[in-house]
Amino acid sequence: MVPFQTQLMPAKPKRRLQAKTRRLLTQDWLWVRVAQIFVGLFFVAASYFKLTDSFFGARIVPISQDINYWLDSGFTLRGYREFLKFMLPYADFLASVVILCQCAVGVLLVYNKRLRWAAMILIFVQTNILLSTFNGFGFIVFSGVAIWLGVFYFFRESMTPRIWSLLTWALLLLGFKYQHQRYVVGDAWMSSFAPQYAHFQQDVMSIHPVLKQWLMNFWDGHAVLAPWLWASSWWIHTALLLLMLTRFRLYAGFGWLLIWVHRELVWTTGVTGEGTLYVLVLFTWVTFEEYMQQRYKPGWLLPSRQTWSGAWWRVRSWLGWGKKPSRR
Amino acid sequence: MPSLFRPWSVCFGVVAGTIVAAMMLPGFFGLQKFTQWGAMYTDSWCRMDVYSANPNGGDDVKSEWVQASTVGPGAVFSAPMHNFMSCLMWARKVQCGRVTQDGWKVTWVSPEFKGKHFFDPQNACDVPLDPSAEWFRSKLN
Repeated sequence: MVPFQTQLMPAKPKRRLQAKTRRLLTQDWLWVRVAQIFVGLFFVAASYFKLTDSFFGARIVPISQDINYWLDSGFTLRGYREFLKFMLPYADFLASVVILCQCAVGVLLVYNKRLRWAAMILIFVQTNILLSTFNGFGFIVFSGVAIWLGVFYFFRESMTPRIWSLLTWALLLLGFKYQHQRYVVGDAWMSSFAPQYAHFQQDVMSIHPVLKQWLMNFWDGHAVLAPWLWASSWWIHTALLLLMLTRFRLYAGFGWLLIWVHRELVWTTGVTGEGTLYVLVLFTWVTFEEYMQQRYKPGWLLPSRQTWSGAWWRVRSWLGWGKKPSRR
Repeated sequence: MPSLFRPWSVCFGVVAGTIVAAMMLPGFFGLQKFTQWGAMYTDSWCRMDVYSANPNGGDDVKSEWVQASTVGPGAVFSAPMHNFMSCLMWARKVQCGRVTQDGWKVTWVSPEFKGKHFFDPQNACDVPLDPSAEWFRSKLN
């Protein structure tokens, strides 16, 4: 029943706003929602960017050129090639659909409405992009994290520890895939420092010229230490991914996030908007992991003995070998 | 009791502030304004025509078309993002004085940003060297 005072004397609007703000700031899902707003704004910006890049203003690379590039480079998955070739004359229509979908996803996420619809649209769009660019270097991880976001927001409102573990596993697999790519190009060894540093000096811009200048001065002044630091970052990154399997995964995930924030600040023009999306995905993960850890005690990420036992009894029951004895 | 001032909130707050300042609104905070927020497919934003001499001066001028960050060995990270200033500085520092594969020296550069030759009819090689030119050091020519 509504209290008597509330009916006759409603709180003043200003006080109501203050109370609402206080309630919002003390909620344990505050940072989960902040991350969601960031992700939503990112996809709104992505659609706006594509709108100007594909239709208005700086139309340098029409979407048909991108699609041709994917096809010519052999990026597209074999079974998907024919569909993409068929759609090539309608490239502007495709671009419009992608722009509309990404904008809708962004708006729904920002306003926290119809999350499952937003998630399904995001999964649909990004899966098509993944199929188009499947064999391209680095595309799997990039499309993968966007699909991961879609799956996460699909389950966010009804998340269970088991689904969250599976989602963490999926993110870890993408992380290991990325580390594998970096290993192939030699990041794990000191010998890769020289060409990378030259590339950094010549082509890459940091978030501020002073930061870049300071880093170059530091590396120039520590010629012996610099290659060690460079190579060790790959190993630290990998160690953090392994640590994600343990109950210390929140700390490891936060370290992983800091590595990407650092990359975004230092290799700004190198990691581009993809780096920003990695930061947002990891920010989403750590905020939700912290939210979950307030409710569930973290353990190893591997399936527990109880889970294995439950799965075994389910198989036995399906085969007709008997049912799990009930506890009394 | 959930509180805004618990340790993890402080950590998340610092990261959120960094995201806003460095990725969402860098220009507002006096940082380099690249299009990081929601942008992709920007490889061709900064490119330039390079010449052996003033292209308006005569017929015997050799030229080449260059896309930013494509000189040198294959890079792990690509570097496609630029803004006006970084595009001009990249042209000035990396292209001016470079000897091309055909053996002629680049003395005149016309940079192009988002499809516009924004520095014409001036020569990017005439831009005075100031501290910002140190952003890019030519090493891979």
